[in-house]
Amino acid sequence: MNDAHDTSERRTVSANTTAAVTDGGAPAASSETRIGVDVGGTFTDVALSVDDDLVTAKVPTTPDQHVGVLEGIAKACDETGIDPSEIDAFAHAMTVSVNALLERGGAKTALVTTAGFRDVLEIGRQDRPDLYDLEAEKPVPLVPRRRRFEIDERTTAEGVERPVDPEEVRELAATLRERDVESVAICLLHAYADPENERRVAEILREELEVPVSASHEVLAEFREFERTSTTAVDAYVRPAIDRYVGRLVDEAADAGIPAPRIMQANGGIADPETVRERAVTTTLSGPAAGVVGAAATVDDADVEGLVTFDMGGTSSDVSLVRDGEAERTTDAEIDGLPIRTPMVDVDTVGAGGGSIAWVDAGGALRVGPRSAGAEPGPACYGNGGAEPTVTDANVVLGYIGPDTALGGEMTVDVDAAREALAALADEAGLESALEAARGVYRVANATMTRTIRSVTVERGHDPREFALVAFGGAGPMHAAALADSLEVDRVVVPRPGGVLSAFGLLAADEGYDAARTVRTALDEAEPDRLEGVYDELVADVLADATDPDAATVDRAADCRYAGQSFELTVPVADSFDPSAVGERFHDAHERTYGYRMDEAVEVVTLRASATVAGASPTVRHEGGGDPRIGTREAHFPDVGAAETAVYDRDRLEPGATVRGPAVLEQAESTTVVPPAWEGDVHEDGTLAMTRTEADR
Amino acid sequence: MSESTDATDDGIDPVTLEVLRNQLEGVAEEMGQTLIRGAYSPNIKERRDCSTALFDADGRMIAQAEHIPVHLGAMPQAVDAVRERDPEPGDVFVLNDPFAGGTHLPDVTMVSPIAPAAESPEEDGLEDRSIVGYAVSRAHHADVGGMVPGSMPAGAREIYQEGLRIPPTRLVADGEIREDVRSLVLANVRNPRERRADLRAQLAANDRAADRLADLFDEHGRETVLEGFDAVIDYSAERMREQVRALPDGTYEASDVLEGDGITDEDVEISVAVTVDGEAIAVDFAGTAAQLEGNLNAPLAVATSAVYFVVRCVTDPEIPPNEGCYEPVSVRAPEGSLLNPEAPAAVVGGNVETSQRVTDVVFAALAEAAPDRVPAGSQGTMNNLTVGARDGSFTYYETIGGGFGARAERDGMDGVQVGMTNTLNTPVESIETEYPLRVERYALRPDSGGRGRQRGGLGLERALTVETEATVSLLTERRRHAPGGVAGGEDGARGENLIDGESVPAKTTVDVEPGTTVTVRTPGGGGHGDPDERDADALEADRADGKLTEDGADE
Repeated sequence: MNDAHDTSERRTVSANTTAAVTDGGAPAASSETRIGVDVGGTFTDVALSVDDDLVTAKVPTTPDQHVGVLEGIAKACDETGIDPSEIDAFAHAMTVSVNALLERGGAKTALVTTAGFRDVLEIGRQDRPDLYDLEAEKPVPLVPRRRRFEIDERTTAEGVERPVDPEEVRELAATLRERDVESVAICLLHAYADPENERRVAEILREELEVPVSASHEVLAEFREFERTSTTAVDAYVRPAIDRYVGRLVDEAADAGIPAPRIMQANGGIADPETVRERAVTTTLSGPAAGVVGAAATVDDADVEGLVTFDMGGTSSDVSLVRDGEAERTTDAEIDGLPIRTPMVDVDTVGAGGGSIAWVDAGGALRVGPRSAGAEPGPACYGNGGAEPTVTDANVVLGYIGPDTALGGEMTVDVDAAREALAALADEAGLESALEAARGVYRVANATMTRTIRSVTVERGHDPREFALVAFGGAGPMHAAALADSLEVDRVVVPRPGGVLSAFGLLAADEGYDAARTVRTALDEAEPDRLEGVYDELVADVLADATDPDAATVDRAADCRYAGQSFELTVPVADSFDPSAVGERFHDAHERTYGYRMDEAVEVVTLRASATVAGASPTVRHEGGGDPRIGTREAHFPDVGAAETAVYDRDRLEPGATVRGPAVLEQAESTTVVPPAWEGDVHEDGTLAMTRTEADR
Repeated sequence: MSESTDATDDGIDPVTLEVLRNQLEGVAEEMGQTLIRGAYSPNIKERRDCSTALFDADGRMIAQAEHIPVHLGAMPQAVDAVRERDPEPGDVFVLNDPFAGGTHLPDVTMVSPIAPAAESPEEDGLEDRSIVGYAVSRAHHADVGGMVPGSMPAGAREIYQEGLRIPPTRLVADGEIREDVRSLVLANVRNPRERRADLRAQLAANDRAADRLADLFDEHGRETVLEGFDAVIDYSAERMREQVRALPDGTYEASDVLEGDGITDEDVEISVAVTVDGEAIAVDFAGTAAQLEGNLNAPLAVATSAVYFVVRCVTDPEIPPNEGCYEPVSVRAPEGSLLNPEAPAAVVGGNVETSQRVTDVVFAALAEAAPDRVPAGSQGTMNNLTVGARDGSFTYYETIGGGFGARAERDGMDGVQVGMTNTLNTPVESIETEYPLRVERYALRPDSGGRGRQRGGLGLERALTVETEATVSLLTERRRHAPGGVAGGEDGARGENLIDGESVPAKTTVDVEPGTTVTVRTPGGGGHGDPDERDADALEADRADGKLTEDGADE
């Protein structure tokens, strides 16, 4: 990664107009200087909002992630001509916790459970990970059996039945000290209902030990012992690493005169460093969440059902949904087979990206992925010795990527190598030419991604035709219009900072905290006073984390179900708990989600509270200017064939400009394809809004 | 608007093949999602005990979204049974008769002929609609009547006791629901409102297939899609034939037993001869016991599903399941036998335990042909436990995981569902809140995995205290005959059932008083290879984790 590359990656979009944004939906600008830094697998992305400008930069990710973070900040500041000490706010997403999980490189953790249940973590839900794979393995438990300890106590749903013997816990503490454990997770049965015993165990262990102790009723006060144990174990497992990392970054930021980083959580909200050091489990998968937040912040979804965000990278593509400006969340997430039940932005991944390799299988079908050429050697067109045909190579042969298109900035495009790789594929597949093979790879990759998008929307009860598609990531905007055609989606939006949308999302994110507790009661027997008491505690809990409780918006919700079901739906709850209103809302939600309502008793299972402190939306002003036209080249489109295609420099297109397909829009981090039947309008903030010009595709 | 790439001489090119394959599988998946979303029964909604599929006009399966293996081979019979009854566009058939296209009564299947309007609308006015295929959905309903709630009676001796038996019947005719048929069905089941919701979800799933197929006709043209049906079937067949060719020719035999049929304790033999001949696998269950008085009889569709399951596992599980995938595989069982019973045999247990033993014997036979790919014996039972209050206030049913057999290069998985099932457990915190039951212990069973170079998976111990007057029913296997080790590996531990510490038989139904504790110790998996060759670190890790204790006794 040389300097020239890094410099070319830097983009400045400057503007001096203060006119209202037409599509960005961004409210009044703040004049603060704010920076967002997102660490990804290969690059660390930076978005800097200063005055009315948005500056972006990319630097290589370093093994010690904070090194690259500070380099990225320095670079962006340098380019902008400001001193880091002028930064007013710093938001950050990193992969420290997810890496610790995937590499099983976290702490030496101990687990404490109720007698008879130390194996719950390992047994899981007793299902095997794959129906037909005889070589399948269950996920390796974060805490091996030798460090799982039982104590003699018992709590039921009604309360404590057998109290904890403090002496037994002190003896356990001595054992844990002897074993040099680095963190402790405690999960006792029914601690969500009555945490007394668990609290006592945690108190004693915290007195006796120097290491962090995660208690399940504090991490996830919800029923279902395996999922609660798993979530608590994840928290304890990543906590020392997060504590070290965040602590060091806070110190180094302070040294550079930068405010302490506020950390992106997987729930899509940012939080203070002190909060995430205490509750590390919330930091898993924060980067993808930031991307979805960034997409939601750039695109107005007022006249569609919602947004499908489509982030196509090198090895895979991420798909998620945004409704009413909010990223859809799940409390049913898993990382590497480990359930994490704290709320997370719901992201589905499909194993097809620009680097995915095309091949012909034993049945004679042309397949794309799941193998990827990765960054090294990369697609054949990188000219780094890769010979296998990839999706990116197909895009070169189709003319979407030209000989002079910037591909991550550093390399020129080797068109001949791409053509050769596709010609070899054509031979193998019995297709006429490299071009036919390229068209085939493009179609197959799109079919795979279409299947995932359909599945994500249909499974959640939506019709994709009612949605707009938001495309980002290096390759997303190259495929988006074709995907829209097969999904019968009429609108595609390509945000301006699409190459660093997660970093941009950090600037746009609100502060957000969640708390929940299982109460489990029949709705018609619910005692509103008792539930209000629980809500009071939950609200106090989330407000305690908020930097400015007075500015916080508090939302309350309840997970409900029909008696006898064992899955719940979350419905909003007003300021006072009115059982009949909650019931009605649940019936409505059930009908909306599953298509029918029932005349059955409703159960309230879990109460939830969240606090949000709105962040200042970043200003993105786009001016363009200069001759945007780079030239023309021949490109090939499904159903149309070859067409002389205009090539534009996207950065130079001015607001108000309309680009009629066929056209290719180039910019440093990504390339956008506008097919013949499409046109794109450039909005004030540089967003490209594409619509189909012909009703019939 | 077909693509110009449809150029090769053989019809469909490799690109269109892959695109259509994705799209057709997508149709089956969307049907499944529609069904799961709209269903009420926990079996469908949470355990995903349901499957959806698309068939062509000749009754050949094109794509299937199956969530549990027992539906793998059972759908074609349902379509065949419907095709014999002159289906017309606008009909939807419902059926569950194990002797006419079904498996066991709770599995209700719906079959809809698909007949999109003809391609040229200018010629409309003419009813030019021919059937191009069938949409099929099958789901395990929570109840279909019969002698006990849940329709899985342990003591049944005739199918009439097991619930309402529905031969292929038009639930919808000419696009209209036949209320008389629906009310007949609903009058015979417990909680008809829920059943109505489940039936509606199945109809919605089938309708979704018709809509999506019409979209595909629009996109590719009718001819291309119909050619695509053939192409995806040929595709799977080609991939499967390649896999079968790699197996050495020969006839491989195995036999095993069920430990009684619930009425007597006598062993019941299941024998198989698997013949690999070039590109074909013929599976013959000749020598298997005659059909039983109890309910462990399994219709041929169940045995077929079990065979398909094993074939998928041993070949390439990624081969898309359709007619072509199973084209090289044939299954036979003598008429009137345990695996091909005649009406009115009781069959509800066949799905549960008999299917497990069928997978065991077919695996055992193929172990000779593919020794590196077939694991040692797994627990081979679902460990069915039912607790019913004597006052009728509740029925609780669960199955319990156990040891997976050791693999050539890996230990067996500890404490998992094996073979034909993969359902989740019920959380302790749910059981204790919803039933007068207390879970005392849920743990791995040390030393239960068969020793070997690779160790068999550990069984589980589950102990439940019943806090009310209840009837406890255990339907289990592998209490007398242990899961086998292979290649010098030792057998896994046998399972064990205890009531208040006293050992009870594999199949037991007993009335208990409040405070009685039922303990189920599930079998461990067999070991693989010589125990003396076990890696020292692996041995040490097992000792440190207490999975292996020095004296071999429970710690």
